[in-house]
Amino acid sequence: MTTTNIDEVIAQALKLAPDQVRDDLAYGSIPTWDSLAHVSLMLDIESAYDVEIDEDTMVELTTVGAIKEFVGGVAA
Amino acid sequence: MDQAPLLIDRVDGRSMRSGFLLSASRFPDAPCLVVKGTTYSYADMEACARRWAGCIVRTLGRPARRVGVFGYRSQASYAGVLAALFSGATFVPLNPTFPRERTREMIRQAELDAIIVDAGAQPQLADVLDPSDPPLLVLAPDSETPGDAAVPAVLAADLAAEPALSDLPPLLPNDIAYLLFTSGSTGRPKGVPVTHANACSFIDFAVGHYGITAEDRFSQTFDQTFDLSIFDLFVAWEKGASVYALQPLDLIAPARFITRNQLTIWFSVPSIPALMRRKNTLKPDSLPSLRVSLFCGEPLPAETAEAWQAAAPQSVVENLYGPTELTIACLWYRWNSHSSPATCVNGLVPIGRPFPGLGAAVVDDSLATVGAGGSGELCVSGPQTTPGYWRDPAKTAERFVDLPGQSFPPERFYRTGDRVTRLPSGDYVYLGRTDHQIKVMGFRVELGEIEACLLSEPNTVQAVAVGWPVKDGSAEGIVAFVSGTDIDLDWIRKEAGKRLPAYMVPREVRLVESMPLNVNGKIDRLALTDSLSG
Repeated sequence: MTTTNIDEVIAQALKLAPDQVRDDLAYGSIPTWDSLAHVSLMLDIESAYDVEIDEDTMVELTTVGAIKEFVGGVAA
Repeated sequence: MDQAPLLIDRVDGRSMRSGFLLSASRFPDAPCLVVKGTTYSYADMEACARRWAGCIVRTLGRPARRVGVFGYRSQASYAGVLAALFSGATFVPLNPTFPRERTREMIRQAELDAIIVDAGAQPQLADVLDPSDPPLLVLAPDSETPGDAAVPAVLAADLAAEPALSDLPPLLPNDIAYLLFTSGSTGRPKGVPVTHANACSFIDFAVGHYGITAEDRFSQTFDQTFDLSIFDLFVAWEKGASVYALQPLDLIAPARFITRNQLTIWFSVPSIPALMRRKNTLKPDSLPSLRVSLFCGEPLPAETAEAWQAAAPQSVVENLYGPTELTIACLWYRWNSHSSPATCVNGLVPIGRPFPGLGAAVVDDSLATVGAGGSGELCVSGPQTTPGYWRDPAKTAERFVDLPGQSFPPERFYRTGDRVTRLPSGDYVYLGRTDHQIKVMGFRVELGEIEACLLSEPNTVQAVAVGWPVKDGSAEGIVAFVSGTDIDLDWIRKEAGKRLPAYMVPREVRLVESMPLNVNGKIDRLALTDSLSG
């Protein structure tokens, strides 16, 4: 999956336009990124990249930048 | 001759602060509160609250009437509640994440004497205080310098130097302990005052029923503007137990939080375990420290109850039910893996039986009793029934009623607006709302309040808000429909964002040519909801 695609996964889970997905966007910084949306996003990433994200990792992946770094690691 | 003003010799009695004070004298060094990894002892919390209360009483020259606590899951927001009670006041919790207009309206209605603000809420403070109102006494215990405080305030150093208030102003059982605001159909938040007697009645039930001791470690999941947080704090403090405040990040990883802190008591909305199930983090035997697990605020699916029971096999799992007007919770049902599945209706756990000492009745629209097996509106009476709506006698008379056919003196019942049926076992089952109130992620929402906001757009003729999507009896969000000519949808969206809390802001506003009508000529809400499924 390319960077463009992770932008789309994030945009869809957080109900944003793809051009609104910025690296500094964080959990709780916008109304649509609440706990429900966060879990949905984690599930979407798990199915897109065939990985399992445990609770310890879930609480680390709270910015778009951190998510992209994680995805970059598992996709490499 | 002028009549002399009424002078009442007030003698302090049992109140919400009594249990905390007793615990603080018995266990001064025990952990009272843990916030973001910092532990505050009972002595720490008492000392803070007495100093802040001293500042309030000395500055006002009298006991306070109502004190706002403007903060979010911080030591100041919890000690602020105690300081308000120590100053003789009603505490009024306010949330800095709520829109400015809503908080302003709450402050206006509550007529505060003082407000205690934490560091996180500082940036919003100037916005929520109306400059046309008389200046309010502001305590900013987290602010070191005047530059940190958005408005003139008593700062940390001054508060630390304040003498502790030794003689607390007396409180009587019928004094108002806290004033909460719920969603109101007129577009204005509706105040619900709760007395010390109401709250202590609930606390006594909970302490006895769950056998609370000083060894217990409580979760604190609920927002302080949500009355279920009273359980987390005051049931724990009644017996010297400790409270662990979950921060927003902890809410997405609750199993980790429970395990790390070895919590014994868990209390949350069912949405949290539902999220854990979706993410497969609610695993069998994964929560062995818990001995009491409680869910409230929205319908509890049987599958969620069973999954939690499997994760916490040493714990009792209970579904609690209760609106703010009946003080936190008033019915309870204990889950039993063997017998409970057969009692569930529509896959939802029953709301159970009233607490001891409360009365419940199921009535029709004319307030007549519904026969066995029938469904109707649940009405509840007893010591947890609150006095009525804040400065709204008409609304109070509508919802707090004497049911016909009672002997003298009649019990005063609160009409919950919830449709229930009573099973042969005596347990009540929730079937839905009788009006347009719904639950969105555990928050009670009056759809009329959202519709009033939509109708403030000048070209909007009709507006309908519905909960969507609905899962297990609770909505995940709101979708709105509007009709009219030249409606400015952007303005509506912006206005809703400014005036309503995030969970009430419509995720989508749809323009319709005209509203569908049912056979009675009323807007067919069901047809609008059905249109979303297509």
